[in-house]
This record gives sequence, structure tokens and C-alpha cells, in this order.
Amino acid sequence: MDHDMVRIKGTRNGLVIVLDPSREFEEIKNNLLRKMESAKGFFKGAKFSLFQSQKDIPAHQQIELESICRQFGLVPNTEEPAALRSDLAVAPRTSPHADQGEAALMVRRSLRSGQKITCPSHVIVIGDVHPGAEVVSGGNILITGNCYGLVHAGAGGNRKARVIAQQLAPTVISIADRRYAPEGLGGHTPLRRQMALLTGQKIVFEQL
Amino acid sequence: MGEIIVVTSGKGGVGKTTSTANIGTGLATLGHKVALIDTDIGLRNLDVVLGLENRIVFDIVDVVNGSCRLRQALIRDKRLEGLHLLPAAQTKDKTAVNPDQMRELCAELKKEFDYVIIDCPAGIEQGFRNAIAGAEKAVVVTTPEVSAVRDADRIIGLLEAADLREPKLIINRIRPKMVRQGEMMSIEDIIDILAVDLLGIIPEDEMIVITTNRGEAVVLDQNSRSGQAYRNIVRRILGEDVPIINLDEEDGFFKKLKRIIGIK
Repeated sequence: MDHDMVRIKGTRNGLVIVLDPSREFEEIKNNLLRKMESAKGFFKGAKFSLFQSQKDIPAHQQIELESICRQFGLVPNTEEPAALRSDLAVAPRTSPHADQGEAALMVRRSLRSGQKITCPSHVIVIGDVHPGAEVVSGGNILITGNCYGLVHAGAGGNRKARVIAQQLAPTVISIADRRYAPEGLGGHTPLRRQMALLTGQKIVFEQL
Repeated sequence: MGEIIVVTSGKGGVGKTTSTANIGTGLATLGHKVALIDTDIGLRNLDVVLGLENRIVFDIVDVVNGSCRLRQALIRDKRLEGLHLLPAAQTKDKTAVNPDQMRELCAELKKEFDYVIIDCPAGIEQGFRNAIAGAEKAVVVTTPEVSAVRDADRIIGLLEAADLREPKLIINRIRPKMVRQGEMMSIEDIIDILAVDLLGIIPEDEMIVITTNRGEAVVLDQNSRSGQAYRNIVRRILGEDVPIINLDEEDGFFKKLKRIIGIK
């Protein structure tokens, strides 16, 4: 059935193009192309993300499909895929082997003063973020050690982004467009295993 | 074949030159052949601290330019047989030497000396890059101040990026009384932030000022705490397991008295 191969859904996070995992890539590609052509620029300017249940789209295929969409004026969505998934009400995948999770950058060292990590996906730091170091992520930031530096989660505007650290005592913390700079050096006593998230217009800290 | 150690800090005035002079002197007193290189071209100090300023004929720039041979530029210390200094040029700037030339120079000195110790200028620019180019190990000097520790952290990051892993830390100018009163960062605080191994701590000591101004090294002074601290550092560099001195214990009146009359 033709219309099941590529479905275009509108969500509050933009368009989600859902691909049928059982079909061949070439078929999907041609189908997507036809749909875009028949839409006659209807989707122009819309944010989109590609989604395929059960298995992840291989990177080279993803790039090809994205470029087709781009030709028709669509803009790739940089927001967190988790939000899309919840919009689609997709059940978490059960098979541990098939589950690739969400893309995250693993930083396997402590970040020292003057070192900066910028990444559109989630960032996981195995170590500390020292004062003077910076982490900017489009998604969540998870620090296994202590966080004393400058952190910015949801840098693309993702208000659901969170920052989690063993000890959360950042110089400056930002989530989406909100910024919070704790007063004074070492002024607030950090709690163990904290999470920072956005509630309304405020960044709040919660103990895990 | 010797070992090449760079002494660096990022921030100025924390005691790089003093530490270089004392470590070098300490190693030489124990019979090792030591070459000290001052890479702070344009703002040389190591010669002054060692009291060798008036003996300078050629300098590091002359050596890399080929104006003289390395042996001609090396100044032998006035007291210690094994201690030599390759002074920096005062009338040039940091660009007068490049990292490749430094690597070559260090390799040559390494053949002849047991220890080559490089005194790095403050900052992270060319002077720093020159100083670390030929080094195999690094010693980072800091003081218990937030700004100095921050700069040390930056420097450690840059050293690691340059493949100088696991640098050792010297914390200089500790004032135990202030630490006890919570007015100064403690050794534990600093180690916690920097996450590196401690090579030694140096207490704040007037003797450093006195000896440095005289062109002598405090490491040769048997009665001062800072001298003892530098001797401990030297032994640790040589691979001995020497415990870090507990400054708290030594602060009491009777301890002071004992030190004055020479009982350890």
C-alpha cells in the first residue's frame, strides 16, 4: 500500500516523516519524492524529522532523504528526537539489540578551563566540568562528575532539556533561552546528584 | 639520557622561576648534571634568581641562530659543579625561537645532562608553546588563589592536548593559618579542582624573598621550611616516596623553637 510507505504527520514539533521499515530504501525514496512533488510546495519552510519505527535509518540513507526534503524547502528539525517520539506515542522499543537510543556525544574526560564542547545532540561527560569549561548541547547534558563550569542545555530552544550532574554547582547554567548565574563563587552548597530543568520561565534544581 | 621537565603555570608571579631554580639547584646538590633553560625571552629572570646575570655572554637566541655553540652559551653555576644555565635573550621577543628549534635544543641537552629543566614564561602563547615543545614531563606551579588555580587548570588542559600527560602540581605560598581560618583554599580544595598528582607544597616564607634577592636558592638553606619543602620535591622527582609536610603541625611555638635550635 503506497500511502503507508511514507507517511507525513504534523506534530507540535513540526512534520514527522514516518517511514515503513519493511520497504526497500529505493521504494521509500521514490515514494517520498513523489509525495513532495504532489504537495507542490505545501510543506515549504516546515521543520521536519525522519522517523522509522523498529530500526534506525542508516546515516547515508538519512542524508539522501533529508536532501530530497531540503530540495522542496523543508528544514531539518534539530530538536530532541525524544519529544517527537512522545508526540507519535511510539512505544519504547523492546529488543535491546535493535535499540540504538538517541544520539549523544560521549566525552570521556574531564573538561578543563578553556575547553568547550558544542554539540546539537545530547552530551555525556564522563568526568568533571571544571570552572571555565563550557558545554553547549542541543539536548540534555549529563555529567557523571562535578559541574562547576558553564553549561547550556537545549541550546536550539528545547525547553525540555535537562542538566544532570553528580554535583551541580555551575558558574552559569542555561536551558533553552533561560539563563541563571548563581551569585558568588561557591556561594551555594551543591547537593548530591542534582538535575536542573525548566519550569515555566525559571530554572529549578531538583535532587535526584 | 636525561629527563626534560618544563615548569609552567599560566599565571605570572606564582613561582615558576623560583621553583625552576630550586629544583635545579636541589638536583645538582645531589650530584646530578642539570641544565636549566630560561625560555622567557625578553623578560629573563632565571639568571638573576641564580645570581648569574653578570656571566651571560651568549643566550638561547644566539644558540638557535647558530651565532655560538650550545656549549659556549651554557653558564656554569658559581657554587655547584653540575648546574648549568642557558639564559634567555633580553633584547628579543618570544618569536626569536620556534618550537622545532626548542625540540632540537632539548634533544641535544638531553644527551649530556641528567635533567633539563625549562622555565616557561607566563601565558599560553608562543613562549609557552616553545617551552613545552621539547619537554617530556611537566610541573605546574600554582598558588592558593582562585585565579591562579583557574589558569593552572587551563594550562593542564593545554599540556594534555600537547601530549604532556599527568603533569605534577606544586602549590606555592601556602599560609597554613589562613587555610585553617577558611580564608585560603586548602590543598585538598585545589587538588579536587585540578585532579592531578601533587609534587609538593611550599609554605609562604620570607626566606624565599631573601635568598632570591641574593641570587641564592632557598633549597640550600637547611633551616627554612621552604628549603625543606623544595628538598622534598627534589627527592620526589628522583622517585623517592616522601610524605607531604603537614604544615599545621609545624606551626606551633615549640615546633618553631625546635626548628630554630635544629631539632627536626
